[in-house]
Amino acid sequence: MPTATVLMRYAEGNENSPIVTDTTITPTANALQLLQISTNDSVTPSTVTAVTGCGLTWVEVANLLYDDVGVRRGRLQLFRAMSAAPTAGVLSITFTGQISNEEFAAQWVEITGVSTGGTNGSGAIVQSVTASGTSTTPSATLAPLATAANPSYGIFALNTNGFPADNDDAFTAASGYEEIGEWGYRKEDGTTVANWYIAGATEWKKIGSTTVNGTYYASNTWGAIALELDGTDTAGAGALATLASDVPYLTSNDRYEIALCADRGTSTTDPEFRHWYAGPPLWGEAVAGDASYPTQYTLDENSLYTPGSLELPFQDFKGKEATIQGVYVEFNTRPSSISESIASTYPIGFTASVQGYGVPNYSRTTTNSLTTGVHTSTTVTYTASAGYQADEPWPNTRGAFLPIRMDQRVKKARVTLTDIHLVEIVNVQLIGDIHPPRTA
Amino acid sequence: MVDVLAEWSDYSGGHWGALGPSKAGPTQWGGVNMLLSRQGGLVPTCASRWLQLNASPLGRVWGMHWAWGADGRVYFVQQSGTSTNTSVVYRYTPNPASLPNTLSTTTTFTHVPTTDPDWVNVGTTVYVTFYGKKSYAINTDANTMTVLTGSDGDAPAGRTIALYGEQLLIGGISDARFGIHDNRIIFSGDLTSDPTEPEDRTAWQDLNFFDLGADNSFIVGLYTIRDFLVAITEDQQIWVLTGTPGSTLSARRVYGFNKASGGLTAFKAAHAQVDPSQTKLWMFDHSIRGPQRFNGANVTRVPAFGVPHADREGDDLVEGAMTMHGGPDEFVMDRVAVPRTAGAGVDGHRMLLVRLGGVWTLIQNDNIAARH
Repeated sequence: MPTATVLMRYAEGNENSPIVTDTTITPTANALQLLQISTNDSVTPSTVTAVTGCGLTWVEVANLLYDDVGVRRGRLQLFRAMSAAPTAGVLSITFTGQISNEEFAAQWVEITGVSTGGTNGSGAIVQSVTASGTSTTPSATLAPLATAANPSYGIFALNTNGFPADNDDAFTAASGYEEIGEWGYRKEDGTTVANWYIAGATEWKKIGSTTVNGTYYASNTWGAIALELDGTDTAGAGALATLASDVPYLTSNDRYEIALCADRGTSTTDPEFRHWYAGPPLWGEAVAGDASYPTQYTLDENSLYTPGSLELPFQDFKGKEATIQGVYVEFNTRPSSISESIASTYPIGFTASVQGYGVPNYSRTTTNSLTTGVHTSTTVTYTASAGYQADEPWPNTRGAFLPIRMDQRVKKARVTLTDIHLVEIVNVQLIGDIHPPRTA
Repeated sequence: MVDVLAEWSDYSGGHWGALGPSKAGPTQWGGVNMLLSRQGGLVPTCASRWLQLNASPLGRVWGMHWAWGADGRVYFVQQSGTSTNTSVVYRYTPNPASLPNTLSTTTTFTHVPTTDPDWVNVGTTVYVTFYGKKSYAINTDANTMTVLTGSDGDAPAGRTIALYGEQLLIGGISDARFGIHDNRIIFSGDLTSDPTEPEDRTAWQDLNFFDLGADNSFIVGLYTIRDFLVAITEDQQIWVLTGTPGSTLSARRVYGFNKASGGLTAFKAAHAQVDPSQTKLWMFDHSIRGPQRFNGANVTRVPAFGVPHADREGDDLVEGAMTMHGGPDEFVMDRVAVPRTAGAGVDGHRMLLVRLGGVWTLIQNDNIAARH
């Protein structure tokens, strides 16, 4: 489950480049770092050209000059970073020009539980769009989400002449969205207190939607950046939050559904309520040889997916002994679903091992590690890529020979396949040599 | 000379359960997350995936009911996360092909459940009973929920509700009108005006009740199979009732005669389901954490699955929810115990037992288990 944490907010005015933040931050390894920077001025605001610090490489995602007319003008920029080994430190922010009569505000948010692919967080951000306008409802619209489960994230900035007495109430997140934070800074230098605020807010929705919006207390010119985050937690392998008091309620259809109830609790940070569906995957019908592939969803590697494991019963060699040369597996690759927008190729595969029993060369010893006459081979893994089912003839049966050797003579043997993903196992053969039993 | 030493191409025997690789038959297999395909191969399946709803209200959810045959929607009750004495009944149409599914509110009412409600469909009406509160009728066309009441007064509220013949029966009673009676079953019907017409389900007369067993036998499940009613108590006694309530009813206990000290009191209505053949009841046996079936006369366990629960008190009440699907003897049962012979990577606490096409399989459901 992705989480978002505000690491830092920083505001400054009338400063030269670079601005160096004043709080030492220790970013989390493999977490997406999002740094949004607002600048406003009475002229076209400065542009941040570089950000360094904490051992991170900051890459600009968007640069939006959302207001370039009027008394106060605004720019909103977003930078991303991700590192497997960040260091503690401060940020140095380089910008063009001098901030004279200019305000600068930055918010740094760290997001865990998103994809660690790509470089510097590029794999964690599926898409970004920008928008600007003048109203009470800043909004940006994403393209259809690559995966319906991906979070959507919104960054808003505006200049306001005046601010609510309670600064926390300036922004209201859209329905279904969780507000991560909001702020408003104004310049105060001695006896002069400005009326203009540089303000901003962030929100997100863990099960995203294409519309990213919110409401500000008054009409202002605003800028918005909307992101779709890749919710695949590859590092955590789908690790999910644990709730204290959930009870499953099973309902039925022609395929089984598990309608799970979550304890949504009373806090907006509790994991969200979800309706769960459990297989069989509809592609199971397609492997029946139905050339009309289901238009409903099927699974892909980015879904909450658990590979299968298959253990086969022993083959007894009836008094003889065998040595093993390998395992031959026949399998069909599974079709993909157009509606899930799966990439044109996807990885398939499985891992195999052989266990041999009655290995005469092994002896039993009464020690802490008892040797029982069982020999387990090393594992051999088969991986390949398969394309859209529509691109391949049906059934696209394939065969793979896994060279699992067992030179010890065994009296019984069995095969185990693990990490079976995205293939239908049709036939498994154990290949080897039969030897007559040895005489004394 | 290199040769094929062994070949496995028929997987129709299903999961080997407690047999293991040495005693399993040639068509059986171990492991998890594999289902038999229609071509006879084995396909991996995900444990579960979530389907988003367009809203996520706050509050604990107290039960869901798929009104299959009524309107095809899923109804659930959620205690309000913001108001201390309010609950909401929501509904949505489950559709994995079109997400998010849309939630709509059926009703908001003043009550916080203390246990799961029980539901039953009669035509296009869904009846739901809330122990300690009231029973209600949901008009699925109008999406409204009203108190089930009539000229004699409100219907009782209890742990379980079922339709037996033309009459509604509610068991394990607790409400303001009838009081608290763990082992009581109250039935509907205006039997004083015309005993031959019991189908008035708004009529709940004061004397239309009977008790089963000792008064500490808490009735938690009522099910109709064949032409009789099965009542199951919290400690898994099984009673069979035949005849017509109010006139010719007879009841006998067929299982659960000897209660060991510290016996399990963990059974809930959702832990048993009527088989589509309507001739038997599949249920989760808490004493072994495995499946068993009742055909009206005998209780039969499935020996391949389930082991004694380490916690004999059955505190872990989340185990045992089940549903039938597809044809007869096809069901899904949550959180069965499995022996170590079940296969590599088996976690004995998070197993979904599936019987599909006559074949047993185990699904490792970490995703759902993580929410327990």
